[in-house]
Parts: sequence; C-alpha cells; structure tokens
Amino acid sequence: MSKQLGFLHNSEKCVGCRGCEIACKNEYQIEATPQWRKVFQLHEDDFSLPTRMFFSMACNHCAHPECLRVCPVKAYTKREDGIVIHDPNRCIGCRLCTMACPYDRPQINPAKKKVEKCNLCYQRIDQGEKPACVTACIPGALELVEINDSLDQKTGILKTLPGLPSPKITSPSIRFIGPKQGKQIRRD
Amino acid sequence: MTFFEDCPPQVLKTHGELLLALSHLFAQGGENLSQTLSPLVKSCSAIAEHYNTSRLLQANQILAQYSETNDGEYLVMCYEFNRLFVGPNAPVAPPYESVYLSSDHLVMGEQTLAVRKFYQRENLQTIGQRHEPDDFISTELEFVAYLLSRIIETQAAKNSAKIQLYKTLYQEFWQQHLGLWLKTFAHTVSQSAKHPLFSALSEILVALSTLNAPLNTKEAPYETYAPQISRRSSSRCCL
Amino acid sequence: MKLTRRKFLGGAAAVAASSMTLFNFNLLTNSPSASAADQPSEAIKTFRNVCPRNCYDTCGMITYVEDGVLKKVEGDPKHGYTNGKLCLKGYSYPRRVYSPDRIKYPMKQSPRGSGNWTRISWDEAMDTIAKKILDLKKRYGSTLPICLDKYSGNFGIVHYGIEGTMSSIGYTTRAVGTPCWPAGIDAQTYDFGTLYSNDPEDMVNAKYIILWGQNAAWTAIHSLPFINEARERGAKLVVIDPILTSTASKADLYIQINPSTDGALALGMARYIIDNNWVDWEYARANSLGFDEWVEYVKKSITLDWASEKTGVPKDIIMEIAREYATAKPASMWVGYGMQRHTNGGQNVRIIDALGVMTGNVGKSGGGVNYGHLETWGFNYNAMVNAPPKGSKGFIGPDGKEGDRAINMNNFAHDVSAQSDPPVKMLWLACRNPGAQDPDTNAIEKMFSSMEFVVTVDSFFNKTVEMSDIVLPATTHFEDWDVMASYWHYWVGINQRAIDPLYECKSDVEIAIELSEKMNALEPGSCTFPTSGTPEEWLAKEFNPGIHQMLGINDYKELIDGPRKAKMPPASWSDGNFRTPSKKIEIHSELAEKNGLPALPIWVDEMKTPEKYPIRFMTPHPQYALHSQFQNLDWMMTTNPEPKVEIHPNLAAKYGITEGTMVKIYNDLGSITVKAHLTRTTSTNVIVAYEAWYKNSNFNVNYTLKAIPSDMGKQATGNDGLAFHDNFVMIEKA
Repeated sequence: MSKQLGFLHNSEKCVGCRGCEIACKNEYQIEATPQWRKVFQLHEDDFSLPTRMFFSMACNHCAHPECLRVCPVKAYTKREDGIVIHDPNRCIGCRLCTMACPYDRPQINPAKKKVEKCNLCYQRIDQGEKPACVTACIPGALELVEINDSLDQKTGILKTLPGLPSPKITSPSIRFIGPKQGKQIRRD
Repeated sequence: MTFFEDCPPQVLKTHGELLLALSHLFAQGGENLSQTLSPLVKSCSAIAEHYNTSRLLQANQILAQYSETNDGEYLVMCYEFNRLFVGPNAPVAPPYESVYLSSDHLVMGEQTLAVRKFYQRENLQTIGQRHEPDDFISTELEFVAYLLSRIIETQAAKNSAKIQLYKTLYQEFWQQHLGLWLKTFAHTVSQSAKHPLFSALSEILVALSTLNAPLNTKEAPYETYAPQISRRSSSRCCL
Repeated sequence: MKLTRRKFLGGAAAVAASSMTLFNFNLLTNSPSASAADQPSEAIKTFRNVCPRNCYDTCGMITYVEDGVLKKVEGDPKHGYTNGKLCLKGYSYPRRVYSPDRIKYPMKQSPRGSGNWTRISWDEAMDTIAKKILDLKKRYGSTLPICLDKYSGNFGIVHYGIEGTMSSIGYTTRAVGTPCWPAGIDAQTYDFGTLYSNDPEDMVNAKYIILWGQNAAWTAIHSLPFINEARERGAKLVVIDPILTSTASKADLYIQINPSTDGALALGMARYIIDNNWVDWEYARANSLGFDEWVEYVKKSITLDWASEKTGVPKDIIMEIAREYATAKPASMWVGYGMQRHTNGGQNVRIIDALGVMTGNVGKSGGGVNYGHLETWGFNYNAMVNAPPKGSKGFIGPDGKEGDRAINMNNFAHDVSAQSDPPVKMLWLACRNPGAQDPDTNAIEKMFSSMEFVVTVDSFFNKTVEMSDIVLPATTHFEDWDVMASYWHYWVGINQRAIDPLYECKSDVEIAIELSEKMNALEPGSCTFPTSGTPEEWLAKEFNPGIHQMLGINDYKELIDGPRKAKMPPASWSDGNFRTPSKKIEIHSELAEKNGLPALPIWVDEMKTPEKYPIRFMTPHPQYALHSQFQNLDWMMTTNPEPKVEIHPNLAAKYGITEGTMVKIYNDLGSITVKAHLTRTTSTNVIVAYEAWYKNSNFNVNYTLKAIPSDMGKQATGNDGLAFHDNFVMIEKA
C-alpha cells in the first residue's frame, strides 16, 4: 500500500449540523435506515461543562480492517490508497463484518439484505474530487487527509475521542481535533 | 413455461380482460368503483372458474357483493380506496412499483425508468409522461394486457416469430416488474384494509401474481407455488 | 409548458398506430420517437434552483435531472454566501419531491375532518370554489367573508400570486402580519427607519461578535464560515442565549441569560461603557437624535447591580463584555429572532440598537446591529397586483378608505371568529399551516370547525389539510419558475423549472389562472386575474430596471448563469442616510411614542412568571425541520424519529422525571405529552421542545401557547408579533 487516505474530523468546528450525513445520502440516495456516515453527539457528562459537541464518522478505512478479515466471501478489498471497498455483488449479507467492526459502520440494508458502507467516494477521488461529505461540510470540520506520521506529530491531532473504541484494534484512518470549550456563565 | 402455454385463445382473452379490469379499477379511482367493479367481477369469475380455485372464487364473491351495493357503501369504499392508494394522507399502499422495489422507496425511481424503457420497446409511452410515474399499477397492467392481446392476435395470424416475441416480452415484464412487487403491494393492502372489498382485491392481486409466475408444470395449480413466490418477494421490503 | 389543464387519463383512447393493434389504450400512447428503447439516456441536465423556505440562508442550488427525473441536488458554487453547500434539509429535497406521501390531486373531504376524501378534477375543484365564492359574495354583498392566510411556506416572489388571487376576486379579509420577527423589525424601524443589516459575509471583518439569541448552527449555518474566519483572525465570539445551543457550545463565552432580559444586559453594558467613556460621542451625536437624553436615563436609572440581578449575569462578566464590545472596533452584533419573541422583545432590540450606536458600530464594516433586511426585494410583485372587479365592496378602514379587511395573523383564530360584519365564512390557506404553527391550537381547531368552507394548497397532509374541505396539490420549487431573495444575505437567484410538475400539482399562479377562468365563466367580470402567460413569463414580469441595476444584469435570463449579489456596500447605513422621519438614528423616537411605546430605549419589564405555571416552555426552531416542513420526510424521521422536551436534571428530579419519561406539559389552554431528555443545556426553570410536524404524529408545541402579543410589529408589519417564548406551563409525569 502506497499511502493511507482517511478523515480528519475537527470537533472544535463541527456543530453537528448533519450536512455530511445527508449529503452522503443525497450522493448515493441510499434508503432511510443505512447511515454510511453518522453524526454522533458526545456525552454531555464527558466534559467539565455541559455542551453540545459532535463528531462525524463513516467507515474509517482502517489500516487493519476487521471487516476485511472476517468476511467469508472476500467482499472487502483494500486499495493502494488505503480505501476499504465493499463489493455488494460478493456480499451475502452474513453480517459478520457488522459485528466485527468496532465502529459499527458497515450497515445492513434491510431491503437488500446486504451490507453497505462508505467507500470514501473512491470514484470521486479517482476523478480528483473530494468525497461528498467533505465537500458538503459547511464549517470545514471534515477533511480528507493522508494518514501518516507527519500528521500524527502535529499538535492537537488525536487518534481517538472519549467513548470511542481503542484505535489499537483496527488502526482506524481517522484523526480528530478535539472539542474546545469556551467559558460559560450559567444559571444552575 | 407460463400459464398461457397451450392456453386456448378464449382463456387468454379473459386473462387480458382481468388485467384491463384491474387497470381500470386503479386508474378510475375510488370514485368510479360502481363502474369498474362489475367488469372485474366478470373477468375474475371466468378465470376463477377456469382454474377452479376456491380462494379466487371466494374473493370474487366479495367483489360481486360490493359491485351491486348502494351509493352509501360505494362512498365508504371510495374513501378507503383513497386512504389506501391516493391520499391526501400519506397513502398506505402507494400504487407505484419503485416505492416497493427501489432502495429509496420513492416514486420516479430506477424501476420507473426501466418500465419507461420497456414501454418504448413497443413504441409506447404513458400519456402522463413525466407527470405520472410510468410504473403506476394501472399502466403496468394495461401494458401486460396489451402484450397479451398481441399474443392472441399473432396466434390468430399464426405468426410464430411474433408469437414468441410477445410471449417473451410478456414474461420478461412480469419477471422484471409486476411479478416483483404486486404481491408486496397486495400484502400491504391486506395488512391495513379496513373494508372487505380491499382484502378481496388484495387476494385477486396475489392470485394474478401467482398465476403469472413461471411454472414448472402447466398442470400444477398456481396455489402450490405461492409459498415459493412469496419467499422470493419477501426479500423485498414491505412498507 | 402551456398553462393548460393536463389530462391524466387521456380522454379519447389512443390507438398505437405503428403496431396496428386494435387494443384500446387508456394510459399508454404511441411514442413519438421510433425505436426509442435503443436510445441512450438523455445526458444529465443541470438547473439552477433556490431554496424558497423561510430561512436566513436562501441557498443557491444546482439540480441534476436525468430523463426528466431529479437525481440529486447540490449547493451552487457560484453563490458567494452559501458557497456550494446545502444544509441537511436542502440535501433531503429529492425525498420531498418524490415522496409517495405527496398530495397528488385535488381532493374533497366530506364532512371536514372526517378523513373521508374523494378525488376531484381540477375543474370540479375550481367549480366548487368559484361557486362558493360567488355564493358568499351574493349572500353578503362582498367577498369579505373570504379570508386569506398566506405566509412563508414558499417565499418565492411569484408566490405573491396567492395574494393576487384574492385581490382579483374583490376585497377580502386578510391575515396580516408576521409571526416571526415583527417586534425586531419595528425596533429597527423606529431606530433606523427600517431593518437593514450588514452583508453577513462582512462578518469576517469583525473583531468581536455577539450572537444575541441566534443559533446559526441550526438556522443559518452558512454564516458560520464567515464567523469562523473572523475568529481565525482573532475575533472573540460571545453567544447570549437562555439555551446552550450548538452555536453557543462553540462560543468563547456563553452567557445563559434570564429569558426576556436582554435589554437589561445591554443597558448594564451601556452604563459601564458610559462610566468608562468608551462612548463614540462623535458618531452618536452626529448621527442620532436623543442620544444624550438616553445617556442621562442610563446614568440615572441603570446600575450594574440591577442589570446583574435582572439578567442573572455576574457583574464582572457584564463589565468584561461591555469593555470588549466597546473597544474592539469594529464589533458585530447579530440579533436573533428568538430574543424578540417576548412581551418586551422589540424594546430589548431597541436597547441593543442603542448599544451599537453608542459604540459607533453602526454603519461600519465588521460592525452593525444585524437583524435582517429587505433591500433586495424590490420586485414588481406583478402577480400580486390585481384591481378588484368592478363594483367590489370593501371594508371601510379607520382611515375611511375602502379595501381589504385586515385581521391579525398572530391572533388568527380569535380574529377570524370575531368578525361579524360580515363574518368570515371561508378560508384560503397557502404557504401556511396554522394547524401546526399558530398559537392556541385548540382555538384554531374550533375556529376551523366554524367555517363554511376551507381551501388549502399544500404538498403534504398536515394538520391544516386535515381541517380542510378541499386540498389543492402544490408544486415544489423544482416544478416552478421563480426568483428568490434573502432577508439575510445580499444574493438573488433564479429558480428554474427543473422537472415537470408531478401528478396534477400546480403552482399558485396556475391555480389563480384556473380560478379566474372558472369564475369568469360562471359570472363574467367576477375575477380580474389574467388567464394567460407561461410560468416563465410570469417570472419575467417580476423584474424591473431597479432590480436589473442592483444585480448588474440586463435581463432575468442572465441569472440562469448564476445568482447575483446586489451591488450594495458591505456595511448597512454606511452612507449615514437613515430612513427615519428625521433622517437620523432616532434614539428618541416620536413615532414609537405616538404608537404608545417608550420614546427611548429604556427598560420595560419582562412578563412575570405566573405562580400556577412557574416553568417557561421555549419552543425554538428545530434542526431537522423548517417549521412544519421537512421533519415528515423519511430521512428525518429515521435520524430524529420523535420529539423530546429538554429538561434540566434538577428540575426533572423535582417531578420524578428521568431520561425517557413521558412528560405532560400543560397550562389553562391545553397540554402536550412528550418524552423527556435530561440535559444541562437548558436552565432549571426553562424547558425546551423544538417546534415541528412529525409524520403521523399529533405533536404540536402550540397547544399551550397563548396568543400574547409582543410589544411591537404594528408599525411596519401591520400587527404586533407573538410572544412565543413567554409560554408558561406546569409539568408532570404522564
């Protein structure tokens, strides 16, 4: 593998608008239930002050993808650029991947009885475009990046956020800029 | 092999009448049941008698009962028709293929365009092109009725190439379209119908769907194969 | 596309000639192009659309259409404010257009509210409506028994043809006003002559930003990049809001103010600014009237202790933000519509205006007391302007002039019922859902049931449609020609017809044409609405040289190449030409005084919390919906399946409420029951539920809301606003 593409999510900028989530649906017109990308609200109690903080997550295109490892029909492949592709034609809907993924990102499509997930808009990337979610992010909280040491050495780059599974399991190709809290003048 | 192999022209004609009667019923809406029910009953009873199927006979008896009802009852059935199929409430069973088969569950989906393309193979298009979804149940039923009429015509003319062409088209359309959603649609109707007429109508749609499914042997009554079909269509999401 | 009635079921059965069959077609016909099946799909076409919802952002959209089917929508990259991006609601549009839930045909309900609907033809619908109008006119000698309630469901300019429909049949009763923002509009009208805010893109130049009761993350998300850029350049962001919103969560400083006391905070700041002589005396004295008089008031009547007590904000914080706001230069304030939905809301905005004036932040790039504007709305309103038919009898107003009878949109149920000479007998609703959005839903239901006839034009089966006799299917904006301006940014965009109208849907102008044809057939001369013109021709008639000049175009068609930004300076009022009677900022407003309000921006007490109902129930705008639009769509119902009420854990504990408990919220007017979500984003005496219409749900936040007017709105909008956020209730476990 020559490189590893992934996402950089800036929780400082993310306001949980869910534009990315719905832009993904708009791009692929996937039915209501599967959510390839999803915005999660961080626990209010995980912070010193109450807050509305979010992160957005799709498939993390892990360096060591569990989905790929457990799939009995080789529906998963990893490209040279690190994108983990799921092939619905091979998928038999056994759901092993949905159980193996620590992030619960392979999604079962109840109508098709098959799994589907984010393929990092590889068709767009191959044409030099950015993924639909990144393009749609209004506050600029979601970026497509190359995951490498120089990124990890930058200050403020986190490999995980409170409440997320240990990155040691699959080495997810996502990095975070953690949420920042301002001062609050409260009445409670 | 499908039901119409070796089927006498008269029976084929009755099949076509049934398809058209159903097409008219959905197209003319709940407001015209007093006109559209009787032809349905007539063609349906001919089919039921021909195949001697009790379920269809029973369903048709209910239809017959309500085809000669009073104005008040017709109104009740009209309201129920609209609640199920038209609106203005979110209809319980929208009569469009792509609502059942597309992953979006929207109208004007991929199936709608595929159906449009299919019609074009016969140089046909819907009168309400681009306004009314092409995969509206009545239009699909009218199209298969038309194909059936071509089978009869070409058989009469002993044009074997054409006979085969129309048989193939007819089978393809059922396999790719009507056959894939009619049962799910019928099931949705029967699940929430609040009037016996629509439970009966649902039965007829199921019967029609089963009748048109590919058969292994022409002798087998279609009901034998119902579970098989039902498994196949159950892979589709029921709304 | 001609504006003729489309026949769904071809009248004459077509015969497919090429195949020489005797088959009688009803729904299919010969395809004009031979061997069309072999033809490849049409290339994907793109169209320009503009989201017409009642929203700050009024996004430019690119719509992708293949084979006549809308495939997806994207933001228009040529739109400098929305910048090629849409919000979650915008991206859900294909779900709306192609939802099987859409209202497809004209339908009649008998009796109203029974759920017994029959499909009728447009001809029958128009015949029924026209005959009812003529019957009422005959019985009462005028068309005044017919009442129109239209507001913001679609803010496209051609949609003012709805008002035009009514004008063309005679003088009618009209719901006048705006529920959203009138108190603030009047405040800025008294102070500056009108509402006129800086270009929001200019916020990048601010060195300090106060969002005052404004939740941009949910209601104006495209402003965030400009705010973020200002912050990257060093600006501090302060959010003042009773609710810790998503926007507030990002602030450098969040102040959880006591609701309705914003003016007290601004006055406290003003006092500290005066005490420290950070006042821009030169600007204030040169540009305003009554400034010194107000300064005297502040010095005499306001103390920091009082302001702190009133607002719940510590003194040192008031001092901090006062110093920072006054000395940042320039500092920008954005006054949200939520903060003026109080009985003293307009007055609070006037005080905040004065704060902007005293620090010289008005008329400056990077500054402003920004609320909204209507500078780019100077269209012809051609579809709206129709002379009444000859001999029409109108309502004689207090000024002795004959015209329409105006009733208060913000007390609609009451005002409709209160009319007696003549009474209101028929309602026409378009772009409006009072069943969901008006205060006191029980009163609305009662009023509706007293009507003889109700016509609603809509796309989905909402509460108002449920209470109608006839519903007419409305087109979406993708099926219409229109032009849209924003009340926030300075861009104007054209909206093309991207797809043919589905089913039998019609635009409001097409409906007016149908009605006019029918009425004139029944009684010649009874309707003046023109009966010709294509939708695009109707759009073209909205443009004038002023608009052309403002947008730098010679023809509306140039907008098809991309939206245009009005040629205006980035800072409002930078020319110092205020539009008040005195042409100056009127800190002392005689107009306000004449209207029974304080002449000066002095403190006016907030509404007292009633003893019996000690909890304030705030019902701000939702994230997944715009009022009663969007939330009913499947994507929204999946992501946000049910409403919740946000309750502070301390308050919840008092009533034995835990996460997920069903809570009954009630007062003398009514009650609602909704699931609890415990959160410290609200305070201990404020509960919060976001207004919206969920599919197949009776949830409606307005059952407990009294139609209490806010203090202002009459001057500029005809009626006072609504004190939506002065809604007091009691709660208990359901």
